[in-house]
Amino acid sequence: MPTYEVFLKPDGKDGFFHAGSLDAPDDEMAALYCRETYIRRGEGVQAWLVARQHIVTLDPKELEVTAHRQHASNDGSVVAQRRRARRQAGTE
Amino acid sequence: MTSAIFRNSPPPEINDAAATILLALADDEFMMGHRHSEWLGLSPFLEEDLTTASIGQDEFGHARALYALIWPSWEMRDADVVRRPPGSWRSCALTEMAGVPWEKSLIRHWLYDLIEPFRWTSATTAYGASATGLSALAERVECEEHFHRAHATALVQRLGAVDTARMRLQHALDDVAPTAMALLHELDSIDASQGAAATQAVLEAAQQASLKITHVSPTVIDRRVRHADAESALRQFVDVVAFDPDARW
Repeated sequence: MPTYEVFLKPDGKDGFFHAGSLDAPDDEMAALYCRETYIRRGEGVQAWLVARQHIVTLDPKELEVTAHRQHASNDGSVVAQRRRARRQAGTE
Repeated sequence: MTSAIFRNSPPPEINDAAATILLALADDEFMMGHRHSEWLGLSPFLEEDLTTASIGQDEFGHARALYALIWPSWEMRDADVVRRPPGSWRSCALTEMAGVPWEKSLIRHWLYDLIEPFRWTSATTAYGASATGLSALAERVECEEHFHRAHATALVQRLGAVDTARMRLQHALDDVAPTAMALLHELDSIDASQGAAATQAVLEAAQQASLKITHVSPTVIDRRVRHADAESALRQFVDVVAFDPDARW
Protein backbone atom coordinates (compact mmCIF):
# COMPACT_ATOMS: atom_id res chain seq x y z
CA MET A 1 0.00 0.00 0.00
CA PRO A 2 1.29 3.48 -0.80
CA THR A 3 2.32 5.70 2.08
CA TYR A 4 0.81 9.17 2.31
CA GLU A 5 2.26 12.12 4.23
CA VAL A 6 -0.36 14.06 6.19
CA PHE A 7 -0.20 17.85 6.51
CA LEU A 8 -2.70 19.74 8.64
CA LYS A 9 -3.41 23.43 8.95
CA PRO A 10 -4.70 24.45 12.37
CA ASP A 11 -7.30 27.17 12.73
CA GLY A 12 -5.74 30.66 12.81
CA LYS A 13 -2.59 32.09 11.29
CA ASP A 14 -0.35 29.03 11.52
CA GLY A 15 0.47 27.28 8.28
CA PHE A 16 0.41 23.61 7.42
CA PHE A 17 2.52 21.30 9.56
CA HIS A 18 3.55 17.71 8.99
CA ALA A 19 1.25 15.63 11.20
CA GLY A 20 2.53 12.17 10.27
CA SER A 21 1.88 9.53 7.67
CA LEU A 22 -0.54 6.74 6.84
CA ASP A 23 -0.85 3.78 4.50
CA ALA A 24 -3.84 3.48 2.18
CA PRO A 25 -4.59 1.66 -1.07
CA ASP A 26 -5.54 4.87 -2.92
CA ASP A 27 -6.37 8.58 -2.57
CA GLU A 28 -10.02 8.09 -1.61
CA MET A 29 -9.25 5.67 1.20
CA ALA A 30 -6.30 7.80 2.29
CA ALA A 31 -8.73 10.69 2.77
CA LEU A 32 -11.07 8.47 4.82
CA TYR A 33 -8.26 7.15 7.00
CA CYS A 34 -6.82 10.65 7.42
CA ARG A 35 -10.12 11.88 8.78
CA GLU A 36 -10.45 9.04 11.27
CA THR A 37 -6.83 8.91 12.38
CA TYR A 38 -5.53 12.50 12.31
CA ILE A 39 -8.53 14.86 12.43
CA ARG A 40 -10.88 13.28 14.95
CA ARG A 41 -10.89 16.25 17.32
CA GLY A 42 -10.67 19.25 15.03
CA GLU A 43 -6.85 19.17 14.86
CA GLY A 44 -7.00 20.92 11.50
CA VAL A 45 -9.28 23.07 9.37
CA GLN A 46 -7.47 22.00 6.20
CA ALA A 47 -5.61 18.83 5.30
CA TRP A 48 -3.19 17.88 2.54
CA LEU A 49 -2.33 14.32 1.67
CA VAL A 50 0.72 13.72 -0.47
CA ALA A 51 1.69 10.29 -1.74
CA ARG A 52 5.25 9.88 -0.48
CA GLN A 53 6.41 8.79 -3.95
CA HIS A 54 5.52 12.25 -5.26
CA ILE A 55 7.71 14.09 -2.79
CA VAL A 56 10.95 15.48 -4.22
CA THR A 57 13.66 14.59 -1.76
CA LEU A 58 17.04 16.35 -1.51
CA ASP A 59 20.24 14.52 -0.67
CA PRO A 60 20.99 15.18 3.03
CA LYS A 61 24.73 15.15 2.26
CA GLU A 62 24.28 18.13 -0.03
CA LEU A 63 22.46 19.93 2.76
CA GLU A 64 25.16 19.29 5.36
CA VAL A 65 27.46 22.06 4.09
CA THR A 66 24.76 24.68 4.49
CA ALA A 67 24.95 24.26 8.27
CA HIS A 68 28.43 25.78 8.26
CA ARG A 69 27.87 28.83 6.09
CA GLN A 70 28.21 31.61 8.63
CA HIS A 71 28.21 34.27 5.93
CA ALA A 72 24.67 33.24 5.07
CA SER A 73 23.42 33.78 8.59
CA ASN A 74 24.41 37.38 9.24
CA ASP A 75 22.80 38.46 12.50
CA GLY A 76 23.85 42.10 12.06
CA SER A 77 26.08 42.13 15.13
CA VAL A 78 29.22 43.26 13.26
CA VAL A 79 27.41 46.20 11.70
CA ALA A 80 25.84 47.07 15.05
CA GLN A 81 29.24 46.96 16.72
CA ARG A 82 30.78 49.31 14.16
CA ARG A 83 27.91 51.76 14.38
CA ARG A 84 28.21 51.77 18.17
CA ALA A 85 31.94 52.49 17.91
CA ARG A 86 31.32 55.33 15.46
CA ARG A 87 28.56 56.79 17.62
CA GLN A 88 30.85 56.81 20.61
CA ALA A 89 33.55 58.46 18.54
CA GLY A 90 31.03 61.14 17.54
CA THR A 91 31.34 60.48 13.85
CA GLU A 92 27.72 59.36 13.35
CA MET B 1 -34.87 -6.35 41.91
CA THR B 2 -34.27 -3.36 39.70
CA SER B 3 -33.20 -1.20 42.65
CA ALA B 4 -30.31 -3.59 43.25
CA ILE B 5 -29.29 -3.42 39.61
CA PHE B 6 -29.64 0.29 39.06
CA ARG B 7 -27.48 2.68 40.96
CA ASN B 8 -29.88 5.59 40.81
CA SER B 9 -33.43 5.16 39.74
CA PRO B 10 -34.34 2.37 37.33
CA PRO B 11 -35.06 3.43 33.77
CA PRO B 12 -38.72 4.30 33.34
CA GLU B 13 -40.78 1.76 31.50
CA ILE B 14 -40.82 2.14 27.76
CA ASN B 15 -44.45 2.40 26.85
CA ASP B 16 -44.80 4.58 23.80
CA ALA B 17 -44.11 3.80 20.17
CA ALA B 18 -41.44 6.48 19.72
CA ALA B 19 -39.35 5.23 22.63
CA THR B 20 -39.68 1.64 21.41
CA ILE B 21 -38.24 2.57 18.01
CA LEU B 22 -35.55 4.81 19.48
CA LEU B 23 -34.45 2.26 22.09
CA ALA B 24 -34.02 -0.35 19.35
CA LEU B 25 -31.81 2.14 17.48
CA ALA B 26 -29.93 3.15 20.65
CA ASP B 27 -29.18 -0.44 21.71
CA ASP B 28 -28.14 -1.35 18.16
CA GLU B 29 -25.75 1.61 18.14
CA PHE B 30 -24.37 0.60 21.54
CA MET B 31 -23.81 -3.00 20.42
CA MET B 32 -22.14 -1.81 17.20
CA GLY B 33 -19.91 0.47 19.25
CA HIS B 34 -18.91 -2.51 21.36
CA ARG B 35 -18.35 -4.84 18.41
CA HIS B 36 -16.16 -2.24 16.66
CA SER B 37 -14.17 -1.70 19.85
CA GLU B 38 -13.39 -5.42 20.04
CA TRP B 39 -11.06 -4.99 17.05
CA LEU B 40 -8.93 -2.39 18.80
CA GLY B 41 -5.34 -3.56 18.37
CA LEU B 42 -6.40 -6.55 16.24
CA SER B 43 -7.47 -5.07 12.90
CA PRO B 44 -5.47 -6.08 9.81
CA PHE B 45 -3.52 -2.80 9.71
CA LEU B 46 -3.05 0.28 11.84
CA GLU B 47 -5.19 2.72 9.84
CA GLU B 48 -8.10 0.28 9.81
CA ASP B 49 -7.61 -0.34 13.51
CA LEU B 50 -7.83 3.36 14.41
CA THR B 51 -10.73 3.95 12.04
CA THR B 52 -12.75 1.05 13.44
CA ALA B 53 -12.18 2.30 16.98
CA SER B 54 -13.14 5.83 15.96
CA ILE B 55 -16.33 4.65 14.27
CA GLY B 56 -17.16 2.55 17.32
CA GLN B 57 -16.75 5.59 19.54
CA ASP B 58 -19.14 7.53 17.28
CA GLU B 59 -21.72 4.75 17.66
CA PHE B 60 -21.42 4.87 21.46
CA GLY B 61 -21.97 8.63 21.23
CA HIS B 62 -25.11 8.17 19.15
CA ALA B 63 -26.42 5.55 21.58
CA ARG B 64 -25.78 7.85 24.52
CA ALA B 65 -27.59 10.76 22.87
CA LEU B 66 -30.55 8.50 22.14
CA TYR B 67 -30.72 7.18 25.73
CA ALA B 68 -30.83 10.79 26.94
CA LEU B 69 -33.67 11.45 24.51
CA ILE B 70 -35.63 8.37 25.58
CA TRP B 71 -35.19 8.91 29.31
CA PRO B 72 -34.78 12.68 29.72
CA SER B 73 -35.79 12.73 33.37
CA TRP B 74 -33.88 9.64 34.42
CA GLU B 75 -30.64 10.61 36.09
CA MET B 76 -28.79 8.23 33.87
CA ARG B 77 -25.27 6.99 34.21
CA ASP B 78 -23.70 4.92 31.48
CA ALA B 79 -23.30 2.21 34.10
CA ASP B 80 -27.07 1.99 34.47
CA VAL B 81 -27.50 1.47 30.76
CA VAL B 82 -25.31 -1.62 30.81
CA ARG B 83 -26.77 -2.91 34.07
CA ARG B 84 -30.14 -3.46 32.45
CA PRO B 85 -31.21 -7.11 32.54
CA PRO B 86 -30.85 -8.90 29.15
CA GLY B 87 -34.62 -8.83 28.58
CA SER B 88 -34.61 -5.00 28.74
CA TRP B 89 -32.26 -4.63 25.79
CA ARG B 90 -33.77 -4.03 22.36
CA SER B 91 -30.80 -4.65 20.07
CA CYS B 92 -31.09 -7.19 17.25
CA ALA B 93 -29.15 -10.26 16.13
CA LEU B 94 -27.24 -8.34 13.43
CA THR B 95 -25.57 -6.12 16.03
CA GLU B 96 -25.39 -8.67 18.86
CA MET B 97 -23.61 -11.48 17.04
CA ALA B 98 -19.87 -11.77 17.44
CA GLY B 99 -17.88 -10.37 14.51
CA VAL B 100 -15.22 -13.00 13.91
CA PRO B 101 -13.45 -13.34 11.52
CA TRP B 102 -12.68 -9.75 10.61
CA GLU B 103 -14.47 -9.82 7.25
CA LYS B 104 -17.68 -10.76 9.07
CA SER B 105 -17.31 -7.62 11.15
CA LEU B 106 -16.67 -5.56 8.02
CA ILE B 107 -19.71 -6.99 6.22
CA ARG B 108 -21.86 -6.33 9.31
CA HIS B 109 -20.52 -2.74 9.54
CA TRP B 110 -21.27 -2.25 5.84
CA LEU B 111 -24.83 -3.66 5.95
CA TYR B 112 -25.75 -2.04 9.27
CA ASP B 113 -24.55 1.40 8.24
CA LEU B 114 -26.19 1.15 4.81
CA ILE B 115 -29.56 0.53 6.47
CA GLU B 116 -29.12 2.97 9.36
CA PRO B 117 -29.93 6.31 7.65
CA PHE B 118 -33.31 4.93 6.54
CA ARG B 119 -34.12 3.99 10.13
CA TRP B 120 -33.34 7.56 11.23
CA THR B 121 -35.43 9.03 8.42
CA SER B 122 -38.30 6.72 9.34
CA ALA B 123 -38.03 7.67 13.05
CA THR B 124 -37.83 11.42 12.41
CA THR B 125 -40.70 11.31 9.91
CA ALA B 126 -42.90 9.55 12.44
CA TYR B 127 -41.75 11.18 15.70
CA GLY B 128 -39.65 14.22 14.78
CA ALA B 129 -42.48 16.56 15.71
CA SER B 130 -43.22 14.96 19.09
CA ALA B 131 -39.79 13.81 20.30
CA THR B 132 -37.90 17.00 21.15
CA GLY B 133 -34.37 17.02 19.82
CA LEU B 134 -34.77 13.96 17.60
CA SER B 135 -34.53 15.78 14.27
CA ALA B 136 -31.48 17.79 15.36
CA LEU B 137 -29.82 14.61 16.63
CA ALA B 138 -30.58 12.77 13.38
CA GLU B 139 -28.94 15.59 11.46
CA ARG B 140 -25.80 15.52 13.62
CA VAL B 141 -25.58 11.74 13.50
CA GLU B 142 -25.83 11.73 9.70
CA CYS B 143 -22.73 13.98 9.48
CA GLU B 144 -20.76 11.10 11.02
CA GLU B 145 -22.69 8.21 9.51
CA HIS B 146 -21.93 9.59 6.06
CA PHE B 147 -18.26 8.79 6.70
CA HIS B 148 -19.03 5.41 8.26
CA ARG B 149 -20.86 4.40 5.08
CA ALA B 150 -18.09 5.83 2.89
CA HIS B 151 -15.49 3.82 4.82
CA ALA B 152 -17.39 0.52 4.69
CA THR B 153 -18.40 0.96 1.06
CA ALA B 154 -14.92 1.93 -0.13
CA LEU B 155 -13.27 -0.97 1.68
CA VAL B 156 -15.82 -3.59 0.60
CA GLN B 157 -15.61 -2.39 -3.02
CA ARG B 158 -11.83 -2.57 -3.09
CA LEU B 159 -11.71 -6.00 -1.48
CA GLY B 160 -14.54 -7.12 -3.76
CA ALA B 161 -12.27 -6.45 -6.72
CA VAL B 162 -9.76 -9.08 -5.56
CA ASP B 163 -10.81 -12.70 -6.13
CA THR B 164 -9.59 -14.24 -2.86
CA ALA B 165 -10.87 -11.33 -0.79
CA ARG B 166 -14.24 -11.37 -2.56
CA MET B 167 -14.66 -15.07 -1.75
CA ARG B 168 -14.10 -14.38 1.93
CA LEU B 169 -16.46 -11.40 1.84
CA GLN B 170 -19.12 -13.46 0.07
CA HIS B 171 -18.78 -16.19 2.68
CA ALA B 172 -19.20 -13.60 5.45
CA LEU B 173 -22.14 -12.03 3.62
CA ASP B 174 -23.89 -15.41 3.33
CA ASP B 175 -23.44 -15.70 7.09
CA VAL B 176 -24.62 -12.18 8.01
CA ALA B 177 -27.27 -11.50 5.34
CA PRO B 178 -30.21 -13.28 7.05
CA THR B 179 -29.94 -11.02 10.13
CA ALA B 180 -29.61 -7.92 7.93
CA MET B 181 -32.63 -8.99 5.92
CA ALA B 182 -34.56 -9.42 9.16
CA LEU B 183 -33.66 -5.79 10.00
CA LEU B 184 -34.82 -4.67 6.53
CA HIS B 185 -38.01 -6.65 6.98
CA GLU B 186 -38.62 -4.97 10.34
CA LEU B 187 -38.05 -1.51 8.85
CA ASP B 188 -40.34 -2.42 5.97
CA SER B 189 -43.13 -3.37 8.39
CA ILE B 190 -42.70 -0.06 10.27
CA ASP B 191 -42.23 2.17 7.23
CA ALA B 192 -42.71 0.60 3.81
CA SER B 193 -41.14 3.43 1.79
CA GLN B 194 -37.95 3.59 3.91
CA GLY B 195 -37.83 -0.21 3.98
CA ALA B 196 -37.93 -0.34 0.18
CA ALA B 197 -35.32 2.42 -0.12
CA ALA B 198 -32.99 0.66 2.33
CA THR B 199 -33.37 -2.66 0.53
CA GLN B 200 -32.58 -0.94 -2.76
CA ALA B 201 -29.46 0.69 -1.24
CA VAL B 202 -28.20 -2.65 0.07
CA LEU B 203 -28.78 -4.46 -3.23
CA GLU B 204 -27.04 -1.70 -5.21
CA ALA B 205 -24.07 -1.68 -2.84
CA ALA B 206 -23.75 -5.46 -3.15
CA GLN B 207 -23.82 -5.22 -6.92
CA GLN B 208 -21.14 -2.52 -6.94
CA ALA B 209 -18.92 -4.74 -4.81
CA SER B 210 -19.58 -7.82 -7.02
CA LEU B 211 -21.23 -9.58 -4.08
CA LYS B 212 -24.47 -11.57 -4.14
CA ILE B 213 -27.21 -11.50 -1.55
CA THR B 214 -29.00 -14.81 -1.67
CA HIS B 215 -32.64 -14.33 -0.89
CA VAL B 216 -33.95 -16.07 2.19
CA SER B 217 -37.38 -15.61 3.71
CA PRO B 218 -36.78 -12.92 6.30
CA THR B 219 -37.37 -13.85 9.90
CA VAL B 220 -39.34 -11.57 12.21
CA ILE B 221 -37.14 -9.85 14.79
CA ASP B 222 -38.18 -10.27 18.39
CA ARG B 223 -36.17 -7.59 20.14
CA ARG B 224 -37.00 -8.93 23.60
CA VAL B 225 -34.90 -12.01 22.86
CA ARG B 226 -31.10 -11.89 22.87
CA HIS B 227 -28.80 -13.56 20.35
CA ALA B 228 -26.59 -16.26 21.90
CA ASP B 229 -23.49 -14.05 21.50
CA ALA B 230 -25.07 -11.17 23.45
CA GLU B 231 -24.70 -12.92 26.80
CA SER B 232 -20.92 -12.64 26.97
CA ALA B 233 -21.05 -9.04 25.70
CA LEU B 234 -23.56 -8.00 28.37
CA ARG B 235 -21.46 -9.73 31.03
CA GLN B 236 -18.38 -7.86 29.82
CA PHE B 237 -20.21 -4.50 30.11
CA VAL B 238 -21.13 -5.25 33.72
CA ASP B 239 -17.60 -6.49 34.49
CA VAL B 240 -16.11 -3.24 33.20
CA VAL B 241 -18.54 -1.18 35.29
CA ALA B 242 -17.85 -3.32 38.37
CA PHE B 243 -14.12 -2.69 37.94
CA ASP B 244 -14.66 0.93 39.02
CA PRO B 245 -18.30 1.56 40.02
CA ASP B 246 -17.70 5.26 40.74
CA ALA B 247 -16.07 6.13 37.42
CA ARG B 248 -17.81 8.83 35.37
CA TRP B 249 -17.68 7.92 31.68
